[in-house]
Amino acid sequence: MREEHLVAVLNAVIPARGSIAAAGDLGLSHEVLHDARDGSAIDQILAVLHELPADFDSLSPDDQQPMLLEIETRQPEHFATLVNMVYTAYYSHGAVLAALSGRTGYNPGAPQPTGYVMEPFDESLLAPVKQMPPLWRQVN
Amino acid sequence: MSQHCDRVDVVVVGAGAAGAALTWRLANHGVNVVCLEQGGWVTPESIPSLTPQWERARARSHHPNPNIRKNAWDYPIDDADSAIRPLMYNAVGGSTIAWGAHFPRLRPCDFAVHSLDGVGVDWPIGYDDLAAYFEVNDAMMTVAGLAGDPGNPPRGPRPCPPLPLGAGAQRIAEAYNRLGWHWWPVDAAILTGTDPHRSPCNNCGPCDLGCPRGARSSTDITYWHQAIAAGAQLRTQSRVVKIASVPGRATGVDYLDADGNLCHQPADHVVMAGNGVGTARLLLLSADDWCPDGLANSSDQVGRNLMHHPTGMVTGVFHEDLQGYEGPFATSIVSQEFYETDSSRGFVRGFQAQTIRSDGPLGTALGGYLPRLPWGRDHHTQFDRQFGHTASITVTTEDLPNPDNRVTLSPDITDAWGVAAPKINYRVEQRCADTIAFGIERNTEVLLAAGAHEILSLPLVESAGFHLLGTARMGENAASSVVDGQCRAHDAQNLWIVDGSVFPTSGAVNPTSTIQAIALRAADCLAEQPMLIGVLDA
Ligand SMILES: Cc1cc2nc3c(=O)[nH]c(=O)nc-3n(C[C@H](O)[C@H](O)[C@H](O)COP(=O)(O)OP(=O)(O)OC[C@H]3O[C@@H](n4cnc5c(N)ncnc54)[C@H](O)[C@@H]3O)c2cc1C
Ligand code: SF4
Repeated sequence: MREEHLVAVLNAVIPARGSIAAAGDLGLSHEVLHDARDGSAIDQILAVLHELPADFDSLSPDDQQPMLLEIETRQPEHFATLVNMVYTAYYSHGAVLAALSGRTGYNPGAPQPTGYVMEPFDESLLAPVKQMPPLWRQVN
Repeated sequence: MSQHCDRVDVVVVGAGAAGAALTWRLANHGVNVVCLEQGGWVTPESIPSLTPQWERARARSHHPNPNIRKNAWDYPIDDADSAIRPLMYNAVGGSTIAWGAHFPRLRPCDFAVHSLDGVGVDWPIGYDDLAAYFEVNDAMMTVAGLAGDPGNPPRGPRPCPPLPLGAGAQRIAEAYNRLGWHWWPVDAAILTGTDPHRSPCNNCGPCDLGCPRGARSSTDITYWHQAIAAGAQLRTQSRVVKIASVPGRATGVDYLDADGNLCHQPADHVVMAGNGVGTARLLLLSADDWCPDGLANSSDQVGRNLMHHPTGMVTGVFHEDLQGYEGPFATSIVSQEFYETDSSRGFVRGFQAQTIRSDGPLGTALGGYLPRLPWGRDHHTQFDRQFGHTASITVTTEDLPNPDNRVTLSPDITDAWGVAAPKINYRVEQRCADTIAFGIERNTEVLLAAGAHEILSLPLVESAGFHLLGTARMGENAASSVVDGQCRAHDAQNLWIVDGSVFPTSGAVNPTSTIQAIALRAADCLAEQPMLIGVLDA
């Protein structure tokens, strides 16, 4: 069992950015494990963690990344499951979405009920297409 | 001992796109019709786009793949041997609960691919047989769009004005104009005008999660209310496990109600509308002494010829912030410049190029329609390059019938009631792969002309099994098809199949408009049949 390495793995998958901590330091490992146990992904995640050396946490990011890449090559499906779960937890996190909103103006809340402005369609764009002959084959 | 219901004229299995349209039409003809649906109603309040966690819901509880979603209304699908993952939704409204609402029609050439291009088979019906039904259906599904497209046969004024393009599709439209290629605003089953019971689209984006405003048409909010008002009965959480039959006739259906009680619904006519996977599954499950290989399967075609529309995707990354996550994800413009056969390309038939907007933050990271973002050191840089900055164009190809692409009954997997799950064997044929390779080149040209500085492409979107077609195909010859041109089974004259499984070939466009037109036409044929109450009791 190397569940204790999960925080370090998550940090390597999504590193820190500005004021937002890396995925592991954001506390997402509990959520990832919980989600994995809820579905059938836990064995896949544990299989990835089992490949890690005991001193994984103390390695530098420069040493961790190639090690994880190697595991990804050996266990692509399991590793993909782990990455998908980390991405899902990270991009559902309120602080991450708020920071994204600050950078881009993206609405971090629910798409509804606000939605976005409906600009009218500009039919003049179609002028050249309207000159085209029929493009479909007549069939008897 | 099963519970016995009162005999009805018609029992319909499945309340999705086809089942809803047919039931509405029959009820308006005065037919005594009951529809059995294994799912329930989806309430507007439960739609995830009302919560900030909407993208998480899409990745889990509202995933279009029932194997991931695992809703109690679903059944599992054994898809280990399929190159494309079948997607669907099981509820009142069927897969229109999760659909993108892009609403093209098959073109006239799509009904005659064997005569025109020497591949596949011809349909026993043509575009003209469906033309009037397309118009009825467009009104019921409140289609937004613009008449006058030179890429398609003329059609009536669209019930609602076209959707906004958004910055990405605007650039792509201008690029098509510069290249002199065809494009047109899509027909979309989305309310952009007024309706007393629904609010118009407000461009929020994730139509696939459902529309709390009721703008995106799904048949629970279009056809069903009117069908019920016209006298149709809809029984939800009623899972049909067998079509009962005697030689040459269906006599009704056996189903499990919400409490797991086995019930029998006798009927003069049985209509299958369970989609291209669910219908084939139930016909195979309905084997009996007189039809040991499955009901309506003397031709051995039930379950065979599964078609999906293998799809490639080309994405342009732009320097400008296109805010591509705004607006209905799947509906803006479409090009059919390369739809018809041009033998100089080295393959017959063509492709549809449907412009797709971009995703929210989680969708951007996870990919699916474009490659997943890299993890590790480059993650944030790549995220910033792509998020909101992309627009994509599909290469939607025409699948043709291959008997080895098929639905059978899984030897290993069952649903929660112990009934065999469907098993899918499916591979993509070389002609589709060639079409995708050609389409990726053409779409790349367009996106570069539109100003993209980087192109990403996927030669096959694995999770694009949206369209489930061909597994009970129509044809004139009972030895090589399952139903006739009216959708009536060759082997059982009071058994009708009206969903996408009757498509002999697939065209290269989204099929639902055509599926519903076929269902409406079948309803008119069925309503002319004598209802034989009492005579047919086995
Ligand atoms: C994510 C997604 C996006 C899509 N986008 C588009 C699009 O933009 N444009 C387009 O044209 N198409 C789209 N489609 C496809 C479209 O939804 C289908 O073509 C259409 O819904 C098929 O109609 P149907 O009636 O054949 O089947 P469905 O709508 O799937 O309905 C079948 C119904 O039958 C029920 N059923 C099955 N078996 C049983 C049983 N044994 N007992 C009781 N009930 C049963 C199911 O629960 C289901 O409700 C999309 C699909 C998905 C999943
Ligand atoms: S984009 Fe429009 S149709 Fe789609 S869910 Fe939002 S409001 Fe509804």
